[in-house]
Amino acid sequence: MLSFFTSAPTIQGLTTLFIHTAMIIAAFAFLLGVLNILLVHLGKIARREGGWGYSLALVLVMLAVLVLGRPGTRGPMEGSVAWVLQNIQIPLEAAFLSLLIFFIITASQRALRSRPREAGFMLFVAAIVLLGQIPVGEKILPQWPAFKDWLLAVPTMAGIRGLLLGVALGTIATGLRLLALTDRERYFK
Amino acid sequence: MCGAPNAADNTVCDRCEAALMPIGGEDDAPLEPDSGRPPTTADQDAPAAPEETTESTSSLSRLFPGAKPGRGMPALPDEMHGQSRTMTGETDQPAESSPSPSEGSAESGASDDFTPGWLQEAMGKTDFSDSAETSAELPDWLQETNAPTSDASSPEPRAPFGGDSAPELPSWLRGDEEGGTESPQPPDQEQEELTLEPAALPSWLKSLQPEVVAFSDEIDLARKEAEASSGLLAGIPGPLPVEPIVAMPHIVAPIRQAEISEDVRAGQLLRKLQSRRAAAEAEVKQEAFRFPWQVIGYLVLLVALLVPLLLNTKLFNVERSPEPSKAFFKAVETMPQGSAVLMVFDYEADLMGEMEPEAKAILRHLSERNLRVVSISTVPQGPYLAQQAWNQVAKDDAQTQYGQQFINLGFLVGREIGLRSLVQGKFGLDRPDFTNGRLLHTYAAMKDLRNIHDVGAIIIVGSTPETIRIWLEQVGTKSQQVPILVAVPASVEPAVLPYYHAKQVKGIVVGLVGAADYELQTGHAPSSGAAIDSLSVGALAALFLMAVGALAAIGSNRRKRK
Repeated sequence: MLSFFTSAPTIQGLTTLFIHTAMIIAAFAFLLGVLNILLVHLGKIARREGGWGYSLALVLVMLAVLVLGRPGTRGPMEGSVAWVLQNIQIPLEAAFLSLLIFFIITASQRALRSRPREAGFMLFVAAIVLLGQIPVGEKILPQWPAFKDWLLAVPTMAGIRGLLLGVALGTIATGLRLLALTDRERYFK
Repeated sequence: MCGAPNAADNTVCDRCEAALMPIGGEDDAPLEPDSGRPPTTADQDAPAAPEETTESTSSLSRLFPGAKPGRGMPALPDEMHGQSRTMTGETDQPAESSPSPSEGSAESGASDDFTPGWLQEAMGKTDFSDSAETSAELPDWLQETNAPTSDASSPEPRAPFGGDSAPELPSWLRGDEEGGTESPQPPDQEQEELTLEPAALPSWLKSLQPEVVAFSDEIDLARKEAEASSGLLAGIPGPLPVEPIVAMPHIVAPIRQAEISEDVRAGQLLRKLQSRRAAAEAEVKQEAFRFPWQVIGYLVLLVALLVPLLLNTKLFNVERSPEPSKAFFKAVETMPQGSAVLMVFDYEADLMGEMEPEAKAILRHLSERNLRVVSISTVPQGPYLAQQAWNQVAKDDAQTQYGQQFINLGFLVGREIGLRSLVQGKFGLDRPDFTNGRLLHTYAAMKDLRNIHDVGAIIIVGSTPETIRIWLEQVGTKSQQVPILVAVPASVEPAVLPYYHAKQVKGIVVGLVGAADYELQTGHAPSSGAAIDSLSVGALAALFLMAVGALAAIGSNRRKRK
């Protein structure tokens, strides 16, 4: 934090040292995560727990990609690794997100059934924004996109800023409690 | 009637002129107490005349214990009525005319002149305590017991037969004494006490009184119980009383279950299982007959999304350029040719359908402007996606080559720490690039680039608000002279707009429509026309389904209310 307030060489040097140390720790954290996943799922396979077949598939795929991108190759840009990424991972992730629209429709139906007024108001505003995002809204009413921009810039932003202010104040309060050791029993057992 | 004394031969009262009854002439006549006076309210409410007679004569019997009330008792003269009523507290007469009890006793000698002969005779007979003749007529045992009663100095009133002689009493008399029967008292003491005695209440009125005696007995009993009778606190009043009765729970007799044989029990279980199975089957049938509205809705949405993509339609054209998009385009246009741009690819494969058109449109514009692009990413998939986008742009323009207009630095680990390192340190020209693994200083794109402050602009293609916030916090604050431009999905637009209004962000490209708009600004036809059609038709279908769902919900709620 001091480096934000001063440009003293000593402080800047210390900051650089700490940052590089933290980056090395973060890089090893990735490796540690990989090892953790491997051990957890190997244990499941060894104990034949429920769903151990999925664990086996995960371990096999992970080891296969690691072998394909082993040192000495181009790593992620190696042809075989890129093929896995392009033809398996990207379609799967895109497909998962594509299901979101169906979930939204189902959720809206349930919300309308349980709380018709609130859900109806929310869906009305969502319809205004949705039509403003696509060219159809402009064709229906030329002022529609401008109204959508106002809706996002004023009422929506007021709500978002209120939430952000609350989060910031909560973070500050939590930090102060932590620094004052008020919650030491919770954090330092 | 009025209580005033009259001569014995008077037939009418001198004072109130009421008719006077002759004395001693009607021995056989039925007793009519208070005859001649008007009936009072108490008389009217009295339940029975005989009881009233008894009550009225009781005061007289106290006054004259020797006189036995009964049918043979003559009617009281008016003067006796006055005395009786005075003693019983009745105040029909004026206060000054009614003599006080003390006066009454003092004037007893004077009033003897008015006392009829029969009454004087009766009074003489009843004065047995002072009469030696009467004592002589008493039996021996009674004389002995009567002797102490003549002692006027005795402080305590004695029982008529003496307390000491109680054991000698016959059993029937002892029983009466124990039973609390009212014992006669000597006439002198009795006379004094009678003057202070309150009026005798009729039985019907007594029945209305609360049982004071019983209550006081209870209090006495409670006091006795409160006083400890044994132990260290013996005789000390006031300890916490012992609960005399221990509250015991009700004892419920165990319900005797009928002995059921194993066969009957098995039969009951079988019947229960069969009923459950029937209910489950009915429920399954009901579910099976439910019309699959939800599946039909999904199919409608799927068709709306797929048809424009499959047919490659161009139904909806982008005709409007938002202000942030214009600012973005203007910032790129004003950059000097040959300058470098740091382009951040912070999105993953799930949002590639929306983010990649933006990235390609921007890369194409940068390439056309002959600007060098240094790519970096803080998410693991970012470097690959950046390379893929560049490859597609380079495919359209044969003059662009990797290493001259574009270079991929790869993944920057550590998020905030990594960005801080990027700001604090250098690019590290002695490390390899992501795509070819060659050292950075060997590429022409990295010429004269030592750190982030040497680039002309930072373009962040980020999929989350947090990504934009981190870059602005860690990099924007340290390199304020470098303009920051962002490209985000439509869902992130509300979170990024404040940065644009605060001029921390110089321009924004939003979503698929924003990418098409940007392409239009650069003079190219939107490459994602079919995707925009798919998005538009899909959005309309979603709105249609929501409206249908709202109507169905309203109808369902109304049916439930009915």
